[in-house]
This record gives sequence, C-alpha cells and structure tokens, in this order.
Amino acid sequence: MLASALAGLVFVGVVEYCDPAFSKVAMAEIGAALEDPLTLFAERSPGGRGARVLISIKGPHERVLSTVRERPHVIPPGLDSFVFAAAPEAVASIPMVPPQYDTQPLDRIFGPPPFAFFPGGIPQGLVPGAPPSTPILPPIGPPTGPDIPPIIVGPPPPGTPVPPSVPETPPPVTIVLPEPATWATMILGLFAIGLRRRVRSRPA
Amino acid sequence: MPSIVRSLVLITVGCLAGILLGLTLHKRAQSPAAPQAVTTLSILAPSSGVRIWYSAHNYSQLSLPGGRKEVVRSVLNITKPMHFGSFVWDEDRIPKGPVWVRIDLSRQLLSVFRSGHEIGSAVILYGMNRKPTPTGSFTILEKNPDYYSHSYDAPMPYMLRLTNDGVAIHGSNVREGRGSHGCIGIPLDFARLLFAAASKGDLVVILPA
Repeated sequence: MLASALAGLVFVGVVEYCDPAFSKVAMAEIGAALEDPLTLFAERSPGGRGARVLISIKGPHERVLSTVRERPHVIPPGLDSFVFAAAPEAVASIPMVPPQYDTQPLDRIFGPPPFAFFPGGIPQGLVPGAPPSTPILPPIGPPTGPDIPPIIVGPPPPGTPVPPSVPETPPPVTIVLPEPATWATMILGLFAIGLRRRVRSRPA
Repeated sequence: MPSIVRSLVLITVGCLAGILLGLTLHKRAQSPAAPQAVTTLSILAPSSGVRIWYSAHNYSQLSLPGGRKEVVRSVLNITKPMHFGSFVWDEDRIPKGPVWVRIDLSRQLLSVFRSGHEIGSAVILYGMNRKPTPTGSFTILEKNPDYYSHSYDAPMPYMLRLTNDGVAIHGSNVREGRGSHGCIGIPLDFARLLFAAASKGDLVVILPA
C-alpha cells in the first residue's frame, strides 16, 4: 500500500511538470528573465527628473521652531491654480484621482460658472448658459448663508474614457487529471507487480 | 475476501491516497498566502504573466550601498514606462518573509521586495534641490497611517519615517512637475498597500539621482 501511495505521488509530480501551459509560460519567462533587474527597471522608468521648476507638495508655510516662515509659492503658468490657492486642509480633503482628470476644466464637471458662484441656488430667471436678462450684482454685506465649500474634484463624468487601471487577476490554476485509461493502466500495472510478488513468495 | 481482491483494493486505495496527497501539497506550495486584491495596469505583458521568475540556479542580485547585495527571485513584468500616479502591486502566491524597499531617485521608481520577490512598484516624488532627499540605507523608524506634519502644515498619510529630521515615505498626489521637501511621495493607494506590507525595522535603500 505504501508503494502504491508513493507511485501516486510520483504520478502527480510528473503530470504537473509536463503541463503544457506551464511549459509555454515558463519558456517565455525564461527568455525575458535573461535581462537583469536593472535593465527591467530602466524600461519601466519615466526617466530622470531633470532641471525644471518644481511645485512643492507641501504647503507654503514652513515652520521652524516657533517661527512661521512664508515662502513664495511659485505656480508655473498653465496649471489649475485652484488646487494651490485652497487651504492645506482643503487640499488634503481632495480625493485622489488618476492624473489625467486633474486638468479638466471645472465647467465640464460642475456645469457653467453660475453654479459655483451661487451656492444658495441659482436665482430665478437665470438659466445656466443663457445671458442674464438683468444685471447680476454681487451681494452687499457679509455673507449670511453657509460657508462656500471648497471645490473638490470628483469622479469623472459618465462616458469619460476609463484610465488603464483595469485590475488584472492571474489565470486560474487548472488541475490536470489523467484519463480513465491512464488510471486503469496504472492500477493494472501495480496489480500485476503485486501479483507477481505473491506468486514468487508462494512455496512451490 | 479472496487475497487477490484484497491486494487490488489495497493498491487502489494506496494510489488514490498518494494522488490526493500530491495534489494537496502542490496546491499548498502554489498559494502559501491568501490571495490579495491587486491593482495592476494594462502595461503588464499578458503573454508572459504578471511577473518574471528567475530560475533557482540563476537568481539575480541587486547591489546596495555599502557593498551589500540582495537576492532577487522575481520581478514584476512591466514592459512600458510607468506614468506619474500609476503603480503596480501583486503579492499573489508570494511567500511571507523579510521586506525591503529600493528607491531609485535617478529613475524616480520605488520597488518593494518580499522574500526576494518584487511585489510592488510605483513612480515617486522626491526632494527638490533646496531640500534634497538623503541617500543611503535606512530602516523604518515609525509607522503612522494618519500623520500630519506640523513643520510643513501638510498631511502625510501612511507615513513610514526614515530619519529623525522628518524624511519619510508617505502617500501623496504624485504628478509630474512636483517635488517634496525631502520625503518620498507615492500614490495614496500604493502607500496604503506598502504601509500594510512593511514593518518597523525594514530596510529602505535610497540610491542617488
């Protein structure tokens, strides 16, 4: 019985090793693996940073001991200034989005400007996108309504192309089982070995 | 029961037991840890799989500062240049073990290794000229998932502190054209995964630009 168990173990090992799917992937990967990691890192790298004007990811305030030191916050032209004009707390509350959606004009996300400038609701008679019939004057005096919330970049509008971040799952592991004929051949072969041993051990 | 039939039964039972045992061991060897949710990019070559495996007789090595070398058993199969804000994470079927992080400022890349297998890679932000990121070998001194820098009035989510003067790895809005005051900025989701995988005392190597 022990010999049979060992034979079964060996059989499983041979079947797994001879899996054609494993061999195909293994050959492709062995070829690619001839490259060392540094070469592979160079292929995936976006390149060096180079000399350029950089925007700090930290706020404009740098606190040294008890002194608050203000630094000029340089914003290169062409970039959305609302992100850097907001307070650090508002910047921290902006949800992370893929880089390509940070630069979309705000009106493509939130509608025409009157929506953003009238948090209490669009005045009657004012249709978004249509010229106002009467002059729009700013409110006089301190604001009495709720605080204007910071403009937060949200999820992209429907129909926008999805960035290439589709999760990939590895292919499922397939277990290869032998054919019934293979089973029968193996069992018969082991039976024959056992029978021959019995015949030899019987006294003449 | 006749002896021949008994022998046949014993042989059959033995074969089945051996096959079941072999399949169980093989499955256990392939998936030592529970499958983890992965976020990958389509830049991974589908024909070759998620990662490139080095053969047991030909493990690769990476040189570290000070002459030390780390064995590399597999790397992620990323065939195209990565973008700012993108990352790859795959720890499926990678055994538990020591974790170390390799940061290459010249390539603006961060790689995470576990048991010699690369499980994550991301494009980074690092220190500007006035506040350069230090290079060399460091260890993770502190972990804080919700740290706020009072020196710079800025959040540092999933912070992994490297030095006592404020240099750390933390989540950030990684975009081209940005720099830090010495810290290593990584995408927020990647920072969450790295925070979960790394521990205090793990090695972090920063190579110069």
